[in-house]
Amino acid sequence: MIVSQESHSIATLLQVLAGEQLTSAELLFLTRRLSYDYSATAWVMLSAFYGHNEKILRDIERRVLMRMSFEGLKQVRALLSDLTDSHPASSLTASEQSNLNALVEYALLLQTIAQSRHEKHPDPASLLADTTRRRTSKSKTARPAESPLAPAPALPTEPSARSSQVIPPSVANKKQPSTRHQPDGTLSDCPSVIMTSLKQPETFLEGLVQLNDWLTESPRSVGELRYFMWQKWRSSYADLQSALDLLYALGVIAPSNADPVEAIVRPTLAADLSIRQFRRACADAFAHRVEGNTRLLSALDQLNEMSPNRIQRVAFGDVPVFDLITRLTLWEALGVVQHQKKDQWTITQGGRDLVMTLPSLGLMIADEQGPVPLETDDDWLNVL
Amino acid sequence: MRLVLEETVEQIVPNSRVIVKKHVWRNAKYVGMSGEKVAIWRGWSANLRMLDPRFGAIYIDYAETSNSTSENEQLFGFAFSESIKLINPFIFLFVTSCSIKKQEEIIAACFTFRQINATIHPGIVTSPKEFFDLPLNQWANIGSELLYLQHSICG
Repeated sequence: MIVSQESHSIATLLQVLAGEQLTSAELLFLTRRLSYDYSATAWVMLSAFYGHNEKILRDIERRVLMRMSFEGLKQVRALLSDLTDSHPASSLTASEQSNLNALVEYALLLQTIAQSRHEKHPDPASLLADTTRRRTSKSKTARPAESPLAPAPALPTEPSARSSQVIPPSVANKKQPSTRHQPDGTLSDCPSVIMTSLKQPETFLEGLVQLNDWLTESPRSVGELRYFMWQKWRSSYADLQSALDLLYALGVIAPSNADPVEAIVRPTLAADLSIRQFRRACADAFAHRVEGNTRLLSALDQLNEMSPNRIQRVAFGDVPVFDLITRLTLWEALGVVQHQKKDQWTITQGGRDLVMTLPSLGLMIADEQGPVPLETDDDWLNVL
Repeated sequence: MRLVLEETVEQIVPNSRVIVKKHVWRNAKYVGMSGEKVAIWRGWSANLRMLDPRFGAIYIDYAETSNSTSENEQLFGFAFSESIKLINPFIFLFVTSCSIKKQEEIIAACFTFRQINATIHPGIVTSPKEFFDLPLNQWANIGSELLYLQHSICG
């Protein structure tokens, strides 16, 4: 079935997704599933129809999504991406569009990964090509299309007190950069929606606390996290790995080596932390897990009011740090630094307390133009 | 409900809609009590066995329960009692004579089931609203799938 702009009632679109593969009972399951978002209430409501628990229903959902028509998924995704609320032919409510979008993205993710494991045989080439194109248009620092699906590498769960090196999950299995100037793995490509929410630090932290509560409610897979992000923040397919990197850098999740979709996203913080405790835990993790952050905070601690250019010179010398502003913004959201007038940045008392817990670096502040002493030659440049 | 069963049996055996019969269940052992009185399940059924021995009977019932969850669980098993906890009154489209050992296959096929001792009745529970919201042919297709499921794994 070919879907057109004029024929996109929810029932028609479901028929397109079902193709020849799904039974009517599976189609009914999808119809019911689409009536709800991805909250805990949704599973309660679905449970009312089937009498099965959430785990069984999730298994059913995964199986049904895997059996959807791959061509149908691509068609519906293309249609939804062109659809606007004001489209004269639009008969879908905003909620239907949102739920359908999330479901389609989740199904595509599952099927593409299955394809990569040769379990099923949709045609992922066109999907990945499409994704790559979309990413290229969004950001020059976008990751390769397969990045969101790449298994997370082995990483130390506990941060080392000595080194401030961080290898975000998406970067650690890449070839290490051969020059100091390679910008791989910077935080500048963190999800745009998160960047937007950083402008309101309390909202940003509350969002993280909500996410943490959701993660600690019950075991969540990477796919479900993606689905949650889509539902809550309209985060795009391309943002997933960046978001995972950021959540890891902030200490909210632990890395995993398991299957990327089946893998459980392991929260590392307790569910009942206050905002203050949460902020402190994130700041501590961010200082240890992201390379060069110790250096950045030490510079601010010793010189107090600094412009980004001066921070760059003092903390990193001639090695350009492409995500400096993003880092500063994140630090500000965590209450560690403050943005003053005339683009000056200062450290807060909370920031000074944090620096006290970090290893002393002995920056060559007197000679800002000179080389920056490194702890070891290649110790902290792996991802900058 | 009658039309759904008529469409269902027509998909299996053409010109068979006449076998759809009305019924009322009043057996306390199977449907429980409603206050002081025996509960009533009203609906339609069609026994295809007389036309094609490969298939059994299919039923569609409308009922309302006032039993407690534990009473329903005793009567119908856990899954079904959970189903009708929030959906009440309900419509149940189902087939019979399936072993409890087949429950995983039934769940995997997106159905629920009512349990009576070691026998289960695979089917779909729906609300009257959802029943009327969805097209007749989708319910008929589900009915056919239930008959084929019964034929393939319950026979």
